[in-house]
This record gives sequence, structure tokens and C-alpha cells, in this order.
Amino acid sequence: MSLSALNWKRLPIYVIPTASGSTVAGILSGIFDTFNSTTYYDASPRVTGSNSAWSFFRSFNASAVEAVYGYPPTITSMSQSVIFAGSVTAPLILPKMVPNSYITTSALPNILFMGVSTNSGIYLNWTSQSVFLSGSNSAVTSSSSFSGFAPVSNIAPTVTNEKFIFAWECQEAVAIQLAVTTSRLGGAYSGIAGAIIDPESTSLLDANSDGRLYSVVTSGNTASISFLAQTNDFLNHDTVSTSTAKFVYLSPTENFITASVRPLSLIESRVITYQTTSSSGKIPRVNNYVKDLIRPNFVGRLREIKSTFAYQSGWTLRSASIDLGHLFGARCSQSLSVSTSGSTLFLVS
Amino acid sequence: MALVRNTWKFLPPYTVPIVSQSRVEGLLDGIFFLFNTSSYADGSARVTGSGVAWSFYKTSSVDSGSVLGPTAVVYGYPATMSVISQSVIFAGSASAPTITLPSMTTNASFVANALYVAVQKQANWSQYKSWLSGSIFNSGSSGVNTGSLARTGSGFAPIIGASVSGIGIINAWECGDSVAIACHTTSSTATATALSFAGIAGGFIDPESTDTTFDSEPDGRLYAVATSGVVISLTFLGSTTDFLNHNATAASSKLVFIQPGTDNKITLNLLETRTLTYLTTSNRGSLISFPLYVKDINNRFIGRLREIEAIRNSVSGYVLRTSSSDLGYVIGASNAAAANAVMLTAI
Repeated sequence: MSLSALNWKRLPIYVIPTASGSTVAGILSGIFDTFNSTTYYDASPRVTGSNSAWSFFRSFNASAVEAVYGYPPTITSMSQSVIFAGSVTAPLILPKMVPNSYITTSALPNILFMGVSTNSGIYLNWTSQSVFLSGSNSAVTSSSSFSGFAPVSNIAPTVTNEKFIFAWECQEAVAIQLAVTTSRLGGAYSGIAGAIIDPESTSLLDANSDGRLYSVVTSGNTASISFLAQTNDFLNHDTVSTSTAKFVYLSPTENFITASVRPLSLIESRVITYQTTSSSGKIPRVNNYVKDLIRPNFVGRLREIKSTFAYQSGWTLRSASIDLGHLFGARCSQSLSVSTSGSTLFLVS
Repeated sequence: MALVRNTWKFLPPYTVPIVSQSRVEGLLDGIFFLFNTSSYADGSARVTGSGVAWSFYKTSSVDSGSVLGPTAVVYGYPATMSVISQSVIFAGSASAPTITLPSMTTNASFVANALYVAVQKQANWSQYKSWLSGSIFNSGSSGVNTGSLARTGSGFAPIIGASVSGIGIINAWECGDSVAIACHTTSSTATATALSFAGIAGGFIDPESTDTTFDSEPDGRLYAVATSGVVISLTFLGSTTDFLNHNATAASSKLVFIQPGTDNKITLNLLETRTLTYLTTSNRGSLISFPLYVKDINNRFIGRLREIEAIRNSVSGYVLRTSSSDLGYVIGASNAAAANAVMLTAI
């Protein structure tokens, strides 16, 4: 039986100030500000800690933001947190990374990372193997309750490229994009983290005790214009390159002594264009399912993250005065054409 | 909004007599026999015309008085007719008809001793004309099948696109709006080789839309025919040119639907490709099924296959059960080895 449906909300677009657009600290400040907005994109009120509104905090090193972390309005027994992190200079210690990602600190400066943690309590340090002390469920305190960091963007930001932060949140997950200018065809660095996988099962072999699976997915590079048709792009774990798309989940502890971070990929590969509507022009939304990249058993369904026709990121589809959902796409150019629309996800409202 | 769920039923496997294994009329006789059985594979009663039990008839190309020639056509209609009044027609003949060839579906051509299937809208089952006629039946329940509104149907698509040879077993399934068959070769020792042909016909596409002008027929359905043509690849769900995808090669797989309110045949492909294996279960081992969606050549979304869902690699002809209830039935690439397969759901 499926988990209760999530309701994605869209935050206001954050315009990255020129003064802070060339460092990851500036990007992290923007993420913090975005997730502390008092309104949503449509000016409706956003009250931190209620409905879908996450609570986010930040941590400084000297005067530079190095980590932005938060927790959802409703905490389950798994006590999850999502953390964004990065530093202008190389950290002294290599943080825990997701499988197949960076192995030296020298490559880390100005890279934006994202991770998800379960059993999360008090924040320690983003370079600690356990980013948080144990939370509401103190049974597991090892580093294995943290996914490790996955690269949202794998190069340093510049004031001429990264222009906007798009962000969405729902009761149990968050999503962001760093939108770049048309000089890169309007691409976007992308990341989603939280309880985004529904195993469609209550078995403790398939799900955590709260019925969910916790995951982080990032693009590394700007997501390919056809990432839904690829097997090594966004929403598919790339085992070859340390800096590209990563997609992992924390497997339920019943499978192993402690939770294990395992790579994922989509079960489906889809060629979808902007013409993929019904004959009468209706917009389809189809489920995305994921499998373990190695074993390769079925893992679950992405929760209210569906594939839809190719369009652009940052749009909201409405029916009368009701939001149907929000578009999370590979392209976010301000001009709309065949070459500036790409694979797109539909975050259901 | 989705249509009412179809409930598939499995007919008893039919063993083709040795003398008929390489003769299309033998296979057609087998299909006729299957769809006239009085019980399902689980022994439950099957009453033609009730539940989901289709009514099927057969005829030959050359009937002379009371003397019936070799079976050339097996046609039937569902237990409950919608306003579209569909019929499904299986056909084939040992030699090419001399006067005219039957209407073939897009990219298909007639081959002697091959096995074909078609679906026709507005078909009056009691007024069968000829399988070689543009319109195989006179008009059906709506009475509209003449002049510019004539409906010739999907055209024949090849279940077996070459002269049939060595077909040992036929499986058949039926539901309220569709029928499906699989023909398995007798090469039972080749356990890792694709062995099966298949075909599905009827109202098996749900456009998931209430628009009855562009998206669906007036009854909310779309009528289609899907065939393999050649033996189904062991990994056909990862291919764009195999079963459940339209292939432009004449004898290969076909997937065509009839555009609502017209006589146009539109070719289709699955919206997604999937790499599925025997291991594609949950950690716990639960069976997982994935809906299948189809699009046209312009990537336009057409609909969802009705209660035809992708599953882990399985053996064609198997029944999936929980406790004493059938969950569904497997139709796939082989009846001798676990390979790509779809489940016809029974619940």
C-alpha cells in the first residue's frame, strides 16, 4: 500500500547577488535564505515548521557559511535531516562521500554538496563521519545513517553563470536547482533529498520502520537535456566519474547490520518531448520507479516525483486557482523552443 | 480517469496436434477450440457470452454448400458490447488468396501460411462478409460502417510473420475488452532461446482521459492490435523494435491503434524501455508490476495498456497466485526459460 501523498510547494525564485555568486558560501547563503522565506512563490504564507515548511539552519566557518541543514515539519521515528555543504577552501578532512564520488579533499573547494541523514539530532560538523548526533531514534549512531555527500554542482560557481536558485519542499523532502544562464543553454545543477522513495511495502526488508526510504539524488553536471532517456545522468547513479550524477539510498537496516548506502537507477528509460501530451493536449504524468544498481532488485517509487512532457524548470501548472504541480526540468532558459525544453519532472502539489 | 479494470482469465493450454503444428489452419482451429472451451485453466466454468467469455466463430475462405474448407478465419466478439461494437479476427491461409489480398496493417504484407490478427470497430458479428474485404463485417451496433464512415479496422498484423512451423502449444487469455494469445514452438530443449510469438487485440488501451473527441472513442477506449511477428526477444522490454513496439519491417512486430472517430491506423511504441531481470523483485521478494504506456511516432502520449504490466523475468504461460486467487498470467518471450514478460492482471 502506498504512503500518503506528498504535497510539493514552490519557494520564491532566489536571485543570486553578484557579490556572493562566485563562491559556494554565497550559494549556501542563498539556499538558507530560500528555505527561510516567509512566503511561497504565489505569496501565500509559509510558516516554518508547519505543513510542508522545513526548518533550516546554517553553520559558519569564520564568517563563511559551510553548511545549511534542516529537518521536516513532521519528524518520523527515522528523524531525518537534509544537509547542503561546501567550503571555499579544501577541508582538512574528507567528509563522508556517497559511493563513487570524490576521494581527495583537493577537488572539493567551491563544490556544492547535498546529503541526507537519518537518526539525526544535534549538528556536529559537515566533515564528521556522523554529521549529526543521534536523534529521536538512537538505535543507530554510526556514520552509516548518513548517505554521504553527493555533488549538486561539480565546479565552482561564477557570477556569470549561476543566476537563480529554484527550490521546492514537501512534508518529507526538498529539491533545489542552481539555474545557469543561456550561455549554457539554460541548464541546471539539480538535487533532491529526503524520504523520496516509497517501497510500496511495509516489510522491514523493503522499508524503514516508518515505511519510507531515504535518498539523495544529484546531477553533478548540469542535468542532460534528455536525462530521462539516459542511464548515467540525473536520477541514475554514475559509477564511472566521481563528479557526475549520484543517486543513493540508505537501505533498511534489516538487510544488513547497519544501514548501507547503495546506488540507484531508474527502472525506465524514456524519450519524452514537448509533444508528449495527449491528442487533446492534456499533460501526462507517469510514475518513476527505481532499482538497486547492483543487485538489481526493485527499491520503490519516487514519491510524487513523476515524469512529464518536456518543458522548462520553474513553472507551475495550475487548474483554476489550484496548483497541480511544479516543473523540475533540465532546462530553464528564459526563451522557449525545442532546444530549450528538456526532460522534466512533475512535483505533484 | 482510468477505465474500469479489466480482469484477465486464462484458458487451458492447447497442445497442437503434430499434424497441425506447421499449418496455419491447424493453429486457427486451435484458437477456435480454445475460445470455445467450457472451463478456464483453473477448472472454473466458462460460459460463452457471460462474464468475460468471448463468443468465437470460424469459417473458411472457400465454403461450398455444407462442405467447409480449411479454416481461414476465426472471429469473435466480447461478452459485453460497447457502442463501438468491436470484433477480433484471426486469419491466415496456406496459399495467397488469388482474387485479392486482405487489408494489412501499416508496414505489414501478406505471407502464405502466416498467422494474423486484426480488430475492427463497428462490426456486426452476425454479418461476416469476408476476411479479404476492406470491411470484414457489415455495420455493428451504431449502424455506421458505410461510405465515408466505413471502418476497415486495424488491418491484419502478423502474430507469426513467416510460414508457421513447429508450434506445439497455444496459450490464450481473455478479458472484457481484449483477447491475447501466445504460440510456443516445440524446441523445448533450447531453454535459453526465445521461443514464443504473441498477439493482443481489442480495446486494450486506456487513454486516461475523458475526452471522447480526440483522446478516445465514445466508449472511452482505444482499439488496437499488438503482435510479435517474429519470436519475441528475451529482452523485448528493453527494445524499441520488438513486441509491444511497432517495427517497420513487414514480418516483424506491430503495434497499431485506430484513431478515434476515424479509420486511420497510427503506429505506436512503448513510452519507456526497461532492463528487467529475474531479480527485479523487492528485497523481500514481492512481485512488482509496472504500468506500460504508449506513444505515437510524434511522441504524443496515447495511453496505458489496460492491465498489461511489465514484471520480473518470468516464464510465459505461468499463473501467478496468492493464496487461492490468481494475481495474473504471464505472457512473455519463452515458455521454457525466465525472460522478459508482461503480466495480464486477474484482479
